[in-house]
Amino acid sequence: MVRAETSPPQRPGLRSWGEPGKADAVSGRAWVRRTKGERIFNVLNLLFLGAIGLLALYPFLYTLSISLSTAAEAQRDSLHLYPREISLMAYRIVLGSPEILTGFANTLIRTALGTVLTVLLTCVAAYPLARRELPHRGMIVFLILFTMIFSGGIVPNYLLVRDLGLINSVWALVLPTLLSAFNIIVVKNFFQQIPESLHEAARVEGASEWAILFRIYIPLSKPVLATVCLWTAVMHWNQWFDAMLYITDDRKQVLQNFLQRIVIENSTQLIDMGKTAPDLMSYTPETVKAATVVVMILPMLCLYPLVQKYFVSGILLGGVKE
Amino acid sequence: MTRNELLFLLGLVLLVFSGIALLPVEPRGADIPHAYAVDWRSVSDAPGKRLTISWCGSPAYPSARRGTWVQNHVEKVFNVDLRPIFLDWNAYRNRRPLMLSGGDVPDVCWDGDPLQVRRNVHQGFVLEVPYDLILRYAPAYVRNLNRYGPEAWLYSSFCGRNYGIPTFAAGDIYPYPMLWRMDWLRKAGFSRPPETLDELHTALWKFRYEDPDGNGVRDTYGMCPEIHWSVSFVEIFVAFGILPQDFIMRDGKVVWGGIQPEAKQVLALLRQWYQEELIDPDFAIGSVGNSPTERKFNNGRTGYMYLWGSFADFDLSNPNSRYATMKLLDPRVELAPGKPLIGLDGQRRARVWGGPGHVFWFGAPVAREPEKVIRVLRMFEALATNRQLFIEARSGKKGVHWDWSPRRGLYLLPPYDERGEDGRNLLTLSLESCYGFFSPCAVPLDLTREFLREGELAFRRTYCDPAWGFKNAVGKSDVVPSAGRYLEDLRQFQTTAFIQIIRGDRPLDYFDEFVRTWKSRGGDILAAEANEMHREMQAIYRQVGIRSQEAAP
Amino acid sequence: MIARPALRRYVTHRELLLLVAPCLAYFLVFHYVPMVGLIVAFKDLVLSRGILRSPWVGLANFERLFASEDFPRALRNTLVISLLRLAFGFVAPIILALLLNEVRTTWYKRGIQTLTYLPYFFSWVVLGGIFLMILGGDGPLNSLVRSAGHSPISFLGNEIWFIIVLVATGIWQGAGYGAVIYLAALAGIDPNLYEAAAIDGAGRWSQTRCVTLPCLVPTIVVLLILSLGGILNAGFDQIYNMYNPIVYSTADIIDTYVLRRMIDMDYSLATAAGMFKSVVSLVLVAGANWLARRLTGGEHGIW
Repeated sequence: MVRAETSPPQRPGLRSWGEPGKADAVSGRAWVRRTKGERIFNVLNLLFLGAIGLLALYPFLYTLSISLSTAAEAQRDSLHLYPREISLMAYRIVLGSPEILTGFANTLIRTALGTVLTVLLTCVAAYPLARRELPHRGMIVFLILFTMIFSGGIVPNYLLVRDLGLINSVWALVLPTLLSAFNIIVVKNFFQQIPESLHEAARVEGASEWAILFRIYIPLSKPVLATVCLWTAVMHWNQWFDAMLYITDDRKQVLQNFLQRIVIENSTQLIDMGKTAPDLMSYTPETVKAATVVVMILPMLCLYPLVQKYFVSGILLGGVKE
Repeated sequence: MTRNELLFLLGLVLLVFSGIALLPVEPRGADIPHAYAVDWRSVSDAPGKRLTISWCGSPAYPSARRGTWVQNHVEKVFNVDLRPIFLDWNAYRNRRPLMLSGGDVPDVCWDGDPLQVRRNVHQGFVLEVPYDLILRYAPAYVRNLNRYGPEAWLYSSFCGRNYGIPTFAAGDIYPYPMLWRMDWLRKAGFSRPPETLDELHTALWKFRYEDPDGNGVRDTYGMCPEIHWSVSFVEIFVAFGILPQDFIMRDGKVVWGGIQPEAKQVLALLRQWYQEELIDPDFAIGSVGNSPTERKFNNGRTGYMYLWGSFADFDLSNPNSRYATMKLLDPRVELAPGKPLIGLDGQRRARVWGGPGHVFWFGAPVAREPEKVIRVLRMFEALATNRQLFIEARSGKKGVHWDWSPRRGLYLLPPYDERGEDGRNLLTLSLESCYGFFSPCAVPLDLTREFLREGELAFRRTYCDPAWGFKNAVGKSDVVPSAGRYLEDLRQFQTTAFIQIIRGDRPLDYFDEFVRTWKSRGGDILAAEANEMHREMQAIYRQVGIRSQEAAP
Repeated sequence: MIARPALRRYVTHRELLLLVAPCLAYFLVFHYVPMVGLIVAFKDLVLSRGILRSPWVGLANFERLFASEDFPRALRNTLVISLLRLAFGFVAPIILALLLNEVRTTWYKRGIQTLTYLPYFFSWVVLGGIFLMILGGDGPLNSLVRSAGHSPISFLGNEIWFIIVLVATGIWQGAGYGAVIYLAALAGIDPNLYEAAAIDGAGRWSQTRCVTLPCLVPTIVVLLILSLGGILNAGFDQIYNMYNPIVYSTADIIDTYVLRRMIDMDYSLATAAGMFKSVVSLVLVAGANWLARRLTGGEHGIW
């Protein structure tokens, strides 16, 4: 933020100002002296935003609370901000289920594989597009952008994956979403901001385009790559629709789909299978559902504070500039 | 992009799509190619040869695992290696179609819906199985089928050919009893459950307004019906002489019950009852399999339920029976069965599914190993004639898995009697259902009489007389060809319309508009086709050796 | 006939072309080949025969679509829901960003931002499950309703309430994320503009109206056009995980309709519906872009 260098000339007849004309460090705004109306507004604003923040938090608190409740506590009529009677039975059921563990493993594999390949290939794709000398560059960019606004739809994509023989393979989850036009554009824009002089210098030394990409451009693009990496990882972690269509073997199914069966479709297979929990008072289908949800989102919640700044900066880099 | 490139792309697009528009149109639903045609005369099955058969049975055993005693026994007797696939209902409905489309077609598949069978046949997943093949290798089975559920032949028939082995359920000719809170009835002044509509009304009224559970709060309702079309208020409709969501015979023609004038009368009655708050408003929220009906009844929120009741519900000696669990929650509970209401014409009627059951079909890849079909037919034949084998394939070994006593009837021995253990081991005590995993059919009723509890026979004679059975004129409405296009939609439309009329969201006269709309939205087509089907049924009967309609005992 | 100079160009830049080749191959195979697969919409697909040998039916599938009850309803619902989400869901992040911008305490602002941004990271399987519990008949929201004296409201079983829930939870999920984008844009506004406005005697509200909002317009337009591409999706994830047959009449959208047809193995009908949606979507985006260019004198637009 630029601080104003000078204070404005004093004009007769105007109100005197508290902080004459200095731009605010935080919001860039120039403040006039706080009138009573503005003070009230500030207080209301803070309260309102606080309420919004709590609203954003509440559903998660509720779920956590239910997951730790006994059967009686879960069925009680209340807001469930915290469990009054605690029982870990729901977690025992969930974590003891082989399906949950398989699903977790499959989700990890798919996320890791998908993210690594996507980041790599996005760079490989964005680099030539950032170079103006690429033949037919305009048409290629158009072809890529066009896929953002028109697509074959669910069925033709399903038929394609099926005909390629990818059903029940992890590649069915990785390949169809391997590259995204949006990510390519974001990385491309970033590459275009890297000084041309670096490229020329490397060319003079006889480096191949491949080498320039890997030795110069990629190391300089860590922020944007981190962002793409994170976006892709989050997408893969949350993806359930493709697994629903392309994975029919439960040994290869991902966690989101098992979660969906338990939480949305009310399947009680999880409870009926495996060890029968003898103590009916320590869990209900609701608590088991809640526990499954918590298990699913826990990794995200743990990583969130660490990676939050990458998401924010990523949006700045790519989201606004198109 | 240069102009040339742009023009090139546009030209390509135009070419592709004009090609599509100009190509000739062929008639829809052209013949399924007979690439799967098998010359059955040359196929033989040597019983000594061990066959591997993947088997996707009924979705009633989601927690089962491979290697149960039942599976091992069947494998031993018939010299097969079975690869069972266990699904639950959700998986069956939503995931199995994707499994089939993905290329994974099991050798033997169960389908409960002729509609589903039809769709699978259309996509080419199913192998044709001619009538004479079935007659040759499973004659006794066919005799039973013809006797108890001949309409089932329609379920596997498509475009004049047969695509599977229909099954039947002898248990489905019995009506379900009504379930009553006798303690509430006594408090309301009844010495026996209501038998007429007026008595029913009085009872429901008292359930709502006279605080039958004595807790001082008006939190009880008369009834909270299940939303499924086969039981939703059906006990009232049959009292007026119609089945709301089925085809029925009227003056020699097949018509749809829900658009008959009697339906309007029923709706008027129910509307009034809803306004009187006798019907729990929550009834409209549930979805199939997840409705509040049972919960409310078991927890003492409603006093009456019409939902798949049976003799087992009333067995106090079994701690898991409905009666016992309800008594655990509230010791004052007294559960009593009720006969179907005496209708307006003085007859008692109750909806029954009737004998026709489901279909077992063979995946198209079996055409490469057609002896599997013969083996399975031999299996079904053995199960229909060998009483010992039948019991073992259903309930396991006497003394190990089950035993019989006059008081308990057929019961499971520990540890199989623990919750979920029977399903996990593929054991079922219901000898009359067609949901058995490896044993599809039920055997003649004289057999199962032996295994009924003491008193159950009398119970059935009193509360579940098959003579009251009112069934669909064509077996299941889904066999009608256009059922795929209209039936689901019309069922949903009717359910919604009826709920709206009952709840008061719409006026009673909306019914007339409903009838008009129903007819124009495919209802007329369905009715016409149902009549066709009826004629077709007669034709099939001739092929499978039914000379005249034989009544079940 | 490829001219000599063009061929030389390819050779000179062969490394770049090689680098871009996998990307082109990917888009060709996984995006353009399915577009050709759209011909299934004009056939009666029988899987065992394959696409090429399935019979042609011309426009019969489209006739079936529009003659059915479900599809026109799904179309109408898609448009209604999309417009509602656009109207409310688009405005909410802007308002949130403006309000957050007014907060001078950094830690409070960051804290609220973090909290509101959080829901964006979870799939609707997770969020749908959570809301199914919260909005159920025995859930906390209904216990509030009951303690206020009302009978419990079926939020997810009533056609109108379901839509309200959809829009509200959609905002709940997306407002924080959108706000971050707008906050970034707000941070990029030249402070001199504010000073100039303050000099001219503008109060806070006037400053917002005359400086902030106009400066946000480019961002708004770009995001608007971008989101138009996915507008006909109408939040499929969210709807699929929360809906039930009772609310089909208002909540069934094209994508859920397509999915149900797929499960029925009626692939041709599903493709026809999907194709219709893609084409309409394309027209919308192209039209919006053209409109944006017209209205702003060629300044704003995606291309």
